[in-house]
Amino acid sequence: MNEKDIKQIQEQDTALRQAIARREGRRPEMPAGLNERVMQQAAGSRRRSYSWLSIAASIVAVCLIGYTLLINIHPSELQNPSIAQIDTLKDASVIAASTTTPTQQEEPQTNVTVVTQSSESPLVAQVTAKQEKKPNVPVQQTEAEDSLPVYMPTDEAEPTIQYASVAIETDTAYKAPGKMDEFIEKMASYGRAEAGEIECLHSSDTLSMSTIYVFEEKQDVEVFDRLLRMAIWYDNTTPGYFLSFSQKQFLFELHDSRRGLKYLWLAERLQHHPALLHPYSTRYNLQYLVLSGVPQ
Amino acid sequence: MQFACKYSAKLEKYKRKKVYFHSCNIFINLRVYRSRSHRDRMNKTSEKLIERLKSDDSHAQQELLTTYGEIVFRQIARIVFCQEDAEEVYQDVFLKAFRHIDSYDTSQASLSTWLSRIAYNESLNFIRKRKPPILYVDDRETDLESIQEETLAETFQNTDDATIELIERALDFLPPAEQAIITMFYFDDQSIKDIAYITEQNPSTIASKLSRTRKKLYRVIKTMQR
Repeated sequence: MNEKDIKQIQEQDTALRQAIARREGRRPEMPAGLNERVMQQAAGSRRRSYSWLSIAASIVAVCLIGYTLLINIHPSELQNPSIAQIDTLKDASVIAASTTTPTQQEEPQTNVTVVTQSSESPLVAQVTAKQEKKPNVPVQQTEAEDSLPVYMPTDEAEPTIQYASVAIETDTAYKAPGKMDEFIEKMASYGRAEAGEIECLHSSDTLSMSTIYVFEEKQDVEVFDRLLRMAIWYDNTTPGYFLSFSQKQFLFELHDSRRGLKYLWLAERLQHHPALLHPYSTRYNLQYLVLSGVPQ
Repeated sequence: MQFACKYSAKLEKYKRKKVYFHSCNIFINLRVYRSRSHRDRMNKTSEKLIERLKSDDSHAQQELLTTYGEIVFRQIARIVFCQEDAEEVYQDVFLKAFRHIDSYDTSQASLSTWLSRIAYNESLNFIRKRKPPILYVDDRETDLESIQEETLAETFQNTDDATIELIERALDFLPPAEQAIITMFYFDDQSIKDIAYITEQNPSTIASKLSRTRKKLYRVIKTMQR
C-alpha cells in the first residue's frame, strides 16, 4: 500500500472511523488533580536530586578544606615534587655559589622563601629569593632561630617580587657542621674525656683557640669508628667535604659557605700513648689556609 | 480532542433521535478543522516551551501537563484499560519526559508526538509486566491475504448503525498495540510517519500493519455475525 492508497482508505472507512470515535468518546476522562500529583512528584524528585548534589558538593568541599589545611600545616612533610625540585635547585645554587665565587662570604645565601598563591593553580609555588638578583638593595641582618643570618630587604619600595607572604623556613637540606661538635662533646661526656684548649696558627699569623679531648681507648668507646659514622652523615657533595681515615689518623673537613666558615676535625692515635686519642676541631674563615700541624 | 469527546457523547442522544448520519458528517468536519488549527498553534508555542522545560522551569512543566495531558492520557488509556493503572503510567510518562527533555529532537517529531511515543512505550511496558490474561485474535491462523479490498470497503464504508456497533465490538478483540495504532490513524489523524515514530517501527511496517488490522477486524466481524 502506498501513501495515496492509505489516505484514500482513511477517508473512505467512515464506519470504522465512527466506531473508533464512539469508543474514544466512552473513554474515561483524565481525573482532576492528576497533573498536580505529577507536579508534586517532579518537585520531590528535584528535591532528591538537589539533596544528592548538596551532599556531593559538601564532600568535595570537606576534601578541599582538608587538603588545603594539610598543605598549610605540614608543607615540608609532603612529598610534593614541585617543592622537592625547588629544594634541589636551592642546593645547586649553593654549590655553584661556593665553588665559583668563594669570595662572596660577606653576602651569604639567604633562605628567605617567598610563598605565592597562584589564582590559576591551587598548588603553592615556592620560589627561593636569591641575593644575586638584588645587588643594590641595602639589607638588614637578623638572627633566625638556629642563629643563621637571614637577610631581609629593607627597601619596601623594592618591586622585584610580588608575594603574598614571606615565611622563613628551616632549611631541611642544610646539615649544620656544628652537629659534629655536638656529637664530639656528647661522646666526650660519655667517655669522661676532659676538654682542653689548643692554640691554632693561621696563615695570617693569627691564633685561634680550639678544643681538644683526650680519650682513653676502650672497647666500648671506639672513637675513630664513631667519628667516621658521624662524618658520613654529611652529604659528600657538601662544599669542601674532605674525609681521610686510617688506623692512625682521622681527618675531616667541611666548608660552610652559608656562614663562610671552614671546619676541620682531626683525631690522632698518639704513638707514645696508644691508649689516648685526641680529636681536635677548629674553624676558620674560608679564605684562610690552614697549616697542617699536629699539636703535641 | 475534548470537543470530540463531548461530541461523541452527544452522539448517543442524536442516534436515538434518528439524526445520526447528518451529525456524523458535521462531527468529522469539525474535528478535522479543529485538530489542524490546534496543531499549528501548538507548534508555535512548543519551541518556547521546550526551552523553558530544558531549564527545569516548573511553570513550563505545568504548562506541558495542561497542554498535552489529555492527549497523553488518552494514548495511555487505549492500551492500559484500568483507570488506576493508566494514572500510574501517566505520572511515569511525564516524569520521564521532564528528565529526558534534552534528548528531544525537534526535527524528528512534534512535542505531542514525542510524548505519545513515551506514552505508547511506557503503556506497553506496563501491560507486558502485568501479563493480562486476555486472549486476542491471532492473525497467524486466519487467511487474511485472501480477503479482497472491495469486501473490506463494503463493511467499513457502511455507516449503518448496526455495522458501526459491530465494528466497535470487534475492536475489543484486537491486541492493545493494534488498537492504539488504528486509533492513532483514524481518530488522531496521525500520519504514517508519526505513527512509525511513536511505535519505533518503519513506516512501511505500519502501513502493512494497518492493512492487516483492517482485514483482521473484518474477520472478527464475520465471526461475530455467525
